[in-house]
Amino acid sequence: MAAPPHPPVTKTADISGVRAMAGAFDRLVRSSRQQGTSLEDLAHRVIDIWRQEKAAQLVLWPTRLAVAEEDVLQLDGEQGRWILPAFMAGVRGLAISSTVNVDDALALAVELSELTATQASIESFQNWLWSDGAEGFEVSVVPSFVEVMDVETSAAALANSGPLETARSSGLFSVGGQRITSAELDLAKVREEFDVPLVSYRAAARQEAFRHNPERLDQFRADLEDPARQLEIEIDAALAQAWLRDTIDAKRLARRFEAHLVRPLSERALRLLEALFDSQDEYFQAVATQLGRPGFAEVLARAFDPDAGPIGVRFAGVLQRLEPPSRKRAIMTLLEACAEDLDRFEGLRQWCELIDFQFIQKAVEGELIRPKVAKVLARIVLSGSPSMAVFDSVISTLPAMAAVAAMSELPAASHEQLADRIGALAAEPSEEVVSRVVTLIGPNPPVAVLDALGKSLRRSADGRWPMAAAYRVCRLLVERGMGRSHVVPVVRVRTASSTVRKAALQSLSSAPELRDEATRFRVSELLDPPDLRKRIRRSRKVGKDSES
Amino acid sequence: MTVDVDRAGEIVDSLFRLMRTAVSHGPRHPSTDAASNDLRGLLQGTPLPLQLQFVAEAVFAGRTLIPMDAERYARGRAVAETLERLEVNELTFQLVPDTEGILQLGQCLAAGAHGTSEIMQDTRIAGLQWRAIGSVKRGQAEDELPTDIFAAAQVALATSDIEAYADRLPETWSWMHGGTSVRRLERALEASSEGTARALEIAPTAWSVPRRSLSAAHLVLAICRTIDTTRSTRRAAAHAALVVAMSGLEAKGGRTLVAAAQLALPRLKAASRDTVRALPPHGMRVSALVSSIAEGRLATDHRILAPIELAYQLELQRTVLGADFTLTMGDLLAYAVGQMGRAFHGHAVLALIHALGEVPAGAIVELTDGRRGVALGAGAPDEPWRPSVMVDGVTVIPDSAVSIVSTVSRDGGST
Repeated sequence: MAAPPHPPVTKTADISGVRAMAGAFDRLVRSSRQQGTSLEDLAHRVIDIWRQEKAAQLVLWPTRLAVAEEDVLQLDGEQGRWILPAFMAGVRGLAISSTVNVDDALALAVELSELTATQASIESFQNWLWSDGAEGFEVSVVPSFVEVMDVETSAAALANSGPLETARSSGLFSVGGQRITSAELDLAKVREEFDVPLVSYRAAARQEAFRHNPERLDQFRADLEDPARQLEIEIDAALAQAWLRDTIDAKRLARRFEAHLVRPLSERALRLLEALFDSQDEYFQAVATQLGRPGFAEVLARAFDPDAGPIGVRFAGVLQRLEPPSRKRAIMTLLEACAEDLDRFEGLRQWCELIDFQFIQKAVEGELIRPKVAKVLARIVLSGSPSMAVFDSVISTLPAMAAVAAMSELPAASHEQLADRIGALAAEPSEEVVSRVVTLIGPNPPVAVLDALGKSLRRSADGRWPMAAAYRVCRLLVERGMGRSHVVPVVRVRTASSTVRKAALQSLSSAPELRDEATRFRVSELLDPPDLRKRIRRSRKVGKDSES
Repeated sequence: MTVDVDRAGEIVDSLFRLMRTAVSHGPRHPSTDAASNDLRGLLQGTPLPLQLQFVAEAVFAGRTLIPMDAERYARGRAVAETLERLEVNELTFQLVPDTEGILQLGQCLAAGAHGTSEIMQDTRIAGLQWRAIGSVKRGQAEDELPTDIFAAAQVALATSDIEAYADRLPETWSWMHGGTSVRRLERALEASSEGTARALEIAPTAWSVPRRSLSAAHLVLAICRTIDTTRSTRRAAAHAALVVAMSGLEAKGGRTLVAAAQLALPRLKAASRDTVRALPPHGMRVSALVSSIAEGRLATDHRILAPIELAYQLELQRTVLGADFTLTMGDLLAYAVGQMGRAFHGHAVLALIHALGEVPAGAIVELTDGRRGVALGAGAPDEPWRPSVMVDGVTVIPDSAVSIVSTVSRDGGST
């Protein structure tokens, strides 16, 4: 028996991952007759695993599933019961697309769970597949067993009937059909032309008037395919035909937007969205509610090209209409995309200039921004406003690492104006943050910055100053004549951490006077940690020895 | 005659057991006798004749798929593989063979399982007939059949699908029939665009409403393929053209496009009411296109309507009220060019000409020597006016450009 054609396969290194993926999808299919949130959770899990596996294609064989030629699931009792009927229906490969969502996964699972290896069921499923029912999935399909049977037997009947041979050689497709006789052909001569300008047709052909202009054809295709126009037709239809609203609920119409409207994101599409969000119609308000979710905002932002010029304002208009969490998601997606591809920066910067910057600022407030993204944000802020107060207000809302990354976009000369912020960041309970802050200030920081860091050192018992960073700051303080005011107190006060006090003590080795001052005995020294006490005693001894 | 497919499934299982016991123990063994008796018993309780077809990795009873689970699939495959070696795809039980006949069948199956191929040629079993089904080879039909035959078969099946629907004059559109018809056209076009056009244009049957409607759907698909639209777009546009044409075309002429769409809408509405499932995206697109036309939208508003408008108007012209002849696609293309930029969108017309050829299949043409014939398809791209032509049953490749001759009726109406 001829093997079924091989669908394309995706090579994958980790078979356990794809086995888990196949198993999860099979469980979803088997469970899909039940209702409830657990099913949605399962669908979420299926999508997550499938995405982790880089949307690997499940290849269907009659009684098993494979990925990259490795078996990942075998039909066994209830397990994989849907595989054979799906195979017979012509399905050879199954993968998620980038737009898949939970509803898509549930819809496909329900269809597969109801599929049986009977003619009616296969035909119905095949029709559903053909009608784009499996949205969110890439389904590789060949003719079903039933279709092949139909065609094979019909073709065989035609071939066996004889005239098909004539048809094949002459083009007359007929089974015992009439031939066009000479008499009939002669009628053409005597009959008047029926308003058919054959002469001008021939003349136009001679002038090559039927030749395609590729550019205009491309434009025709673009007009014809414009997803915004097509959705406009669907929305108009839903307005005009109430029954259509009953057959496609708001959630599913929203899904159509998500899947089709944003590729490419045109001005027409954005206008359509604005109109939808502004609609007072109950049905469209329900669609807008669905579209107001952060997930759609992310899809929208991914499709937005800031370089596309005039649509930027309209895009901002759509974002304004979204709820804050969705707006945040959209802005974050734009910044993330720019962080990964800095070629997008100029377009994004110009778009930000078009809109009120507060809009961006509010959107990123409280977000867990990555340092890379923070740098993009900083560049945008700095290009829009030279005011350090604005910059400071933006970074004050960022996580510490992101804030430090954002500050790295500043020229060193600006650090002085942000001395307090630098000091505050140095007080963060994170060695990495503190190290980066100390690196950030460079070899010649302004006095105000050193002052802020010195104060931070004194409060370091609550923070996480690494030894090297503390030593470097203390050295700078001593070199700039701030040793007495900042370093000596660090050694002597117990509000600084033991590590920082050791670093401070070490930094004073080149300044005997300050060292002696710092190591002068005090009663509270007896409460210091033993190793610190030991170092202080040793330093004191070095001082006395050098005096004698 | 209705076929009990469940019963047929049991017979397939029984055939498998007969084959296995005959292979393991030979034809003269109590186990084989038992399997033979089991099969006879099943056949005795089954309305005959019963045809079993072993095609495309499945088993059909009277061309209806036998329900399968994994075990039956494996058994069916095993029997089919054996029969394939014996060059048999179909078994017909006219009567219940006697025990000796069943044992003979078991012997043949065992021989086939061992690789022998000719044994069936010299075997006669009373009550049982067998045959190979034409060019059937299991696997994908397109891979096995000549593409023009595959296309012709798909067109024939699409025609019978849509005619079966039209015969019942239903007030409900059948998504199943409509979708299947468009899918068949789509598959036909993928296999052979020329074969598809030829099968549709030169079929000797009358230009009935279903045939013209199918032709309208074909024209839309052809245009959309030429300009390389997405699959979803062309399917929706073709299906919309089909439902509108089925609703608006009449034996001669028909209603305006808008009126046709207005008639189609209640059918779609009824279909949506009857359907158990939610309307899939394709159904929404089709409904929206039809609604848009019914609302009086034109291709100037939405370009996607341009191919539908063109296809419907051409099929409207195909059989004109008051005329006793039908127009060929050659006439219709000339008519479309005459209306280019006015009634029809210019690029839609150009795309159609590009798809069908300047001298399309079905056009009545005159050769330079005065002989007339029927164009069998588009000529070569660099010589579009030299298509192959059938003249008095003989295919001719003209030496020089032909000319199109207008309006010949071939549906028996006037000649």
